[in-house]
Amino acid sequence: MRFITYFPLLFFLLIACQRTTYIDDLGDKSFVLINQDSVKVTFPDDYEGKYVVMGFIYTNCPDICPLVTKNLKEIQEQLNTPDDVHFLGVSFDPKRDTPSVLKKYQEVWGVDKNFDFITGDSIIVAEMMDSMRVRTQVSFTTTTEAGDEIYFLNHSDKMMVMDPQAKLIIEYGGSQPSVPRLIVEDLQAIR
Amino acid sequence: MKKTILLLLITASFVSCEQKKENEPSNEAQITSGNIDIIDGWVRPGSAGMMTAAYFTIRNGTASTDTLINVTSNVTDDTQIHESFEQEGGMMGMREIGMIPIESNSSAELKPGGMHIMIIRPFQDVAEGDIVTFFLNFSNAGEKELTLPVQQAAPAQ
Repeated sequence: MRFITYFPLLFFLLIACQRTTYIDDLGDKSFVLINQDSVKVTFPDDYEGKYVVMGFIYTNCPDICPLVTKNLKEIQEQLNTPDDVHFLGVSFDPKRDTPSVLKKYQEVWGVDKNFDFITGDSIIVAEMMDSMRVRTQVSFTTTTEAGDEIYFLNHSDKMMVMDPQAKLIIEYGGSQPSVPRLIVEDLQAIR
Repeated sequence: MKKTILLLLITASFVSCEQKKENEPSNEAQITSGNIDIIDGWVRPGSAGMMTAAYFTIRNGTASTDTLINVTSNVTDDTQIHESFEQEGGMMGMREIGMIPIESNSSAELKPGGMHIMIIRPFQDVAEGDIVTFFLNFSNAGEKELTLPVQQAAPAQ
């Protein structure tokens, strides 16, 4: 009788212990993109087996996105550029963020090893942003002295960590100053 | 007995008020120059034809409100005064604010994630170690020349 009473409880405890918490499983997704060196990248397939720390940016953003990129760089430095963690700056402005623009951006930030900036076809990038729940909208346009029109984007402020099985496991506000410390602590705890 | 308790309470509240005053930032104590002063300025590195930003603190030590109404620079034809802000749902936005009023004996801080000078499509790369010149136009103080270092982060304070 006692066994019959406790069996369901033990069963549910076992199930609960086996369940790993994650935000989303990207294992069934496949986005064909391109990096700053014009090399084809298939996300997340190309990164399986590694942790990926990714921030979402556009290079015409002068204020918030540099904070996201700075945080990515700081996390990599604080972890001593580990081989099992890849860093990605994912552009949500593929129209302007071509591979050559991203290459220049990479050079300005002085990052290279295990650190890529990726862009791609507008439709594929939009699909990827949807799956990451990264939202963007044109905020306003301005006209330069030369008569060129420039648009700016409102956008989600997000940094995510994907585990080696392509599961999104961590999400923070990408530009926040506390993010490097939090992600470094998280990665040190789970790796 | 009641009088003693009342006296203790009054004394405690006076002490508490004094403590709060000591902890409050006092702009008047810091700003005594009688001038508009620009401090802690820097420019974020950027590429030619792209975007970057300048940050600094404006201290108004004069007797009246002054307003930053225009900024020009030697590295671009296009500078604007912008502000980043947080929207609902974790969205970040940016808007042109046009001018920055600074009340007498107070300061305005332009910093990452807040107000900044937008440097639109610089003529050349703005690299770490470079110096960028700005001309800040104030409604009362007139034009002030400012040279700022290009660096990856705000200067240590």
